[in-house]
Amino acid sequence: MPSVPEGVVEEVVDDQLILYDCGADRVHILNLAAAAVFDLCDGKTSVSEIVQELKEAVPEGSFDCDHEVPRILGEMLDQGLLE
Amino acid sequence: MSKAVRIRAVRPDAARILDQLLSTLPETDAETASEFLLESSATGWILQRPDHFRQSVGSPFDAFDVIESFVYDRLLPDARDCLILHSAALLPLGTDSVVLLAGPSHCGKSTLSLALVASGGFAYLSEEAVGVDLDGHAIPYPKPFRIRFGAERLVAGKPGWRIAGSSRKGIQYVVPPRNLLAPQDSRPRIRYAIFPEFVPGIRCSSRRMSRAEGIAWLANCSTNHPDFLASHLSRLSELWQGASAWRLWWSQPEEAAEFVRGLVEEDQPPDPVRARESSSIRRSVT
Repeated sequence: MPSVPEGVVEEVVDDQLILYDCGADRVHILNLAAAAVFDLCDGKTSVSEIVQELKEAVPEGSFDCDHEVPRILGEMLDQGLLE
Repeated sequence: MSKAVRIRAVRPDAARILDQLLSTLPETDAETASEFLLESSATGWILQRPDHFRQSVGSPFDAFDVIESFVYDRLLPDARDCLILHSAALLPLGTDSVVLLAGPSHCGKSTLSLALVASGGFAYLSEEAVGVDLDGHAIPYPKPFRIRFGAERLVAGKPGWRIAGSSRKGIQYVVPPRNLLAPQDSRPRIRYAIFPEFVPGIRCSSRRMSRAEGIAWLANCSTNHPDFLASHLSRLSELWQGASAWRLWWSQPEEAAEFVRGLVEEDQPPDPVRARESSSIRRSVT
């Protein structure tokens, strides 16, 4: 169940999500896909549920949720934006 | 942010050098944050503070280098009333719109700001660190330009400029004439943020950044404590209304200066600068 650790601050600017990781003192920008995944990381939703929710939300064939969601989650975990 | 660093040199020749290096900074009666003493020794110079800091330095210029690092590393992060950005700042004459040249060391902040101030049309606010108060006004910090050898050609033959000397790190200090400084009581607003990157041999090119990118990149140039930035990220976003941000890849300072000049005059990059297409899809996490 991925969740947002304490110390990660969110700011939405013109549909783009900015995240500030206080611990690493580093600012990140997420694109739409990454922001959609991040929004679902509430500590209660499993990876497979995130994949399923996004499959229902995006037009079929426009985004390979099975492949992209785990990749994006892995990248955000590596960056310390999720735990 | 009102703190003073006091510097005392025992030898008159060292005092003269430090006076020259500090000549563009305003007098202040602010509380003293630290006090340095520069003394000569049998082998060179010793820089010390009352808190038992003691360091051998090769010259008064090297001592100034150490004192600058102290200001950046120890004093500026403590600012609680303004954002401190690792950025040069210039004021196009006749405007109250600040141009920031922001980014890490060696990206070209000093060289490009020197090129712009020396070629006319811009007043000097800072070449290394600038404060932005919580209403969005820039606070001048007009220390001498700290440039690499060779860049001094940009001021060759220009009246009033003084090349003060160099440190062992291959750094030259160039002192601008006082009439090119922005008024110390001016509080102009941030209008442009340019993030230069020096790439040897290339022609100048640029890309306009989205507002979010500009804010994120600028936040990454903040030297404040993380908790301060965390609680003021939304304020930075509010202050950024109406400002524009650009990436700039450059190798020739004159060409890059023309880009900035064109940006201010027309809000568009002039020829021969080629604006790169902004990629609509970036990496997931940048």
